Amino acid sequence: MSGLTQEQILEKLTLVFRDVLDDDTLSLSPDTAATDIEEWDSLSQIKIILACEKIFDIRLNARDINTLENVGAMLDHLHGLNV
Amino acid sequence: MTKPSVPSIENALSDPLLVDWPVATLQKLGRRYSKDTQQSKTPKISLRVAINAGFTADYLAEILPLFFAHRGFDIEIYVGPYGGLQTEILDSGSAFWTFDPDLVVWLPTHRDLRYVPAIDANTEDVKKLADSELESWRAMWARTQIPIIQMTFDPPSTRPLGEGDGLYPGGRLHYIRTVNTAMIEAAPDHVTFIDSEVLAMRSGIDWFDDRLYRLAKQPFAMEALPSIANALAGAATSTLGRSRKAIIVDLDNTLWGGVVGDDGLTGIALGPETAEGESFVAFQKYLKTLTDRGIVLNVCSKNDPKFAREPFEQHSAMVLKLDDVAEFRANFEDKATNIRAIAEALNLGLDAFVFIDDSPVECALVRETLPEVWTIELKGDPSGFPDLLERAASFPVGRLTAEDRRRTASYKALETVQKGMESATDIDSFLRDLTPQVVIETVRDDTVERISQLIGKTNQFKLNGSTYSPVELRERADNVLALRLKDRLQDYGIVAVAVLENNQDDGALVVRNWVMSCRVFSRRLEYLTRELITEKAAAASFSRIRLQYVESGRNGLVSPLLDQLGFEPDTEQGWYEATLNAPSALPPHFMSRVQTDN
Repeated sequence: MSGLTQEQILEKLTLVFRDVLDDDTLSLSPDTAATDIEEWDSLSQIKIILACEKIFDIRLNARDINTLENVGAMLDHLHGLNV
Repeated sequence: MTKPSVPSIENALSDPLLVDWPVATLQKLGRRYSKDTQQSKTPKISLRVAINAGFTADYLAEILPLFFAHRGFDIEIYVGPYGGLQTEILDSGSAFWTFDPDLVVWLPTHRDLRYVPAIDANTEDVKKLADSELESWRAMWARTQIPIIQMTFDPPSTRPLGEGDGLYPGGRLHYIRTVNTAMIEAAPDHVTFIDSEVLAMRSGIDWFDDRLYRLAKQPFAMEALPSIANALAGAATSTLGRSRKAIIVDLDNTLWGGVVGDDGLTGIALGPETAEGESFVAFQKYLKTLTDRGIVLNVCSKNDPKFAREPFEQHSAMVLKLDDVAEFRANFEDKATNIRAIAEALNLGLDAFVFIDDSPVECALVRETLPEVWTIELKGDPSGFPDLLERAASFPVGRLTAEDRRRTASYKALETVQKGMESATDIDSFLRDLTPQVVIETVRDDTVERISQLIGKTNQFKLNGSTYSPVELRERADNVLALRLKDRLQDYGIVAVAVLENNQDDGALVVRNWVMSCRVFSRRLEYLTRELITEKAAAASFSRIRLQYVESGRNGLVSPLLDQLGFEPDTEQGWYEATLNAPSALPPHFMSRVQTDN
């Protein structure tokens, strides 16, 4: 069974961000980086990763987590995991 | 995918089992609440809390305000830098001291231990190491008199000696346990501990999250945070004397299985014959342990009073007896009305109560009408009932005093006294008949905790918000009036305290604070206390007595009393003054005085 498309992942990722950062108006694009969203700091980054692990049913290594600095990198990584 | 709806803050704050909520929801509500504390309408006590941890405490700090609000506190938090626990405290110019906290929370982990015993260490070696470990903590504790809540060193995720690690010298867990025991013994009165080992046990595998520790320097999984926050807030309530004091229980399907009015005395499930009956016995034993440490047990049941009492009087498997119950209300009025009546009879605020019932309808009604009461619905198999109360940490314990244990008996006697008063046509003869005696106590090892606690805990008969630590009370010992009341029914323990300031520069004897337990209202003990204060003033050659009365919203009854006791408002706002001549119209108190023999 093939995984989700990048668009489907982006849709789910947007829901994760909205939920964790508690902002229903938030929208993401592959270019969105931490500097674009005020609430996206190092503390919420961890919560976003943990929420992703739950929703996509995966577990990431610390090394990979440190590379997920923008939405594009997250999309690529998740897509690569065939979620 | 549907958007999950987030429950309201008010919902969260009224659920005694807040600790069971998903941590992601708690984090979100915690942030929302911190942004706008007005979202909760119930009044709260403001508190400045400084946290210093051996890990990144930011995630904990996110949910902590919610757990404190849950127990009636509005907190402002200062989080010290990660790893700066000891240096911040020992440096008097640090941000910690500038913050000026009312409550201090110290959360070291096993990584903060200074020594590791050799694998072949013996018991003596371990004791010596543990003792050196204490040195820096002793210095830290001595830096402040502010109440400190400290977590014991937590168990590590690996155990060099395997299954023997916690048991034999040379084991890491064994060493941690040895240090913890030594710390608790050595800590002064203002330090209260929470037990990390039990928290770890209850959190299970969630306690250890080594990946999160590497990533964000938080050694626990997020899922472990609610139980830590709950334990901290619980410890704070007990330390600050704001714990709930009484429980109200339903009967049918709460204390026994089935309905006694329908099933009859022999038809209810209670006793070792059935699994269900055994669970109810176990639950009653659990409730009994609560009464043993001073939690006041009351019954509120929709029942014919005759049937309701029968099991207490006649069922051989009943653990709880009528003697264990302070207020027994079995009738067909609604439960909210009954609970109000119980609160009134015991002279306690509604926020001192926990109510448990198996009926969702009754629980909803009480939750709705009396939000101050913590309502716990007993769901599922009765074997799980004790754990529901445990998880909520409804009655957190700090340091248990003898007075705590005596309280139940005391409330029961209060009930007798009040019933007597209602029927006695002549209050004077009733009071005289009680043959009250007042023991004038001194500040000693076995009284100082209680005296400090009484000043902190009292809400109604209290001049102002000033509190006194045991250390301070010892320093002021000569000027502390502590009164124990006894009568032919019972010994009420120390129930009134006045802290005096005997300084010639003031030109008057100053009553810094004066409190009296609500258990002895209407006993006229305040008249005798006034006499004793007057005598102290005379002995120090003062001609006037001064005190400051600050309204708190709960101590309104003091105001008319001051007038009655001859205190008149002074030119200075909030201050009152009296001469040594007590008003002649005061009714007699019939109390004889006894000097303590200790």
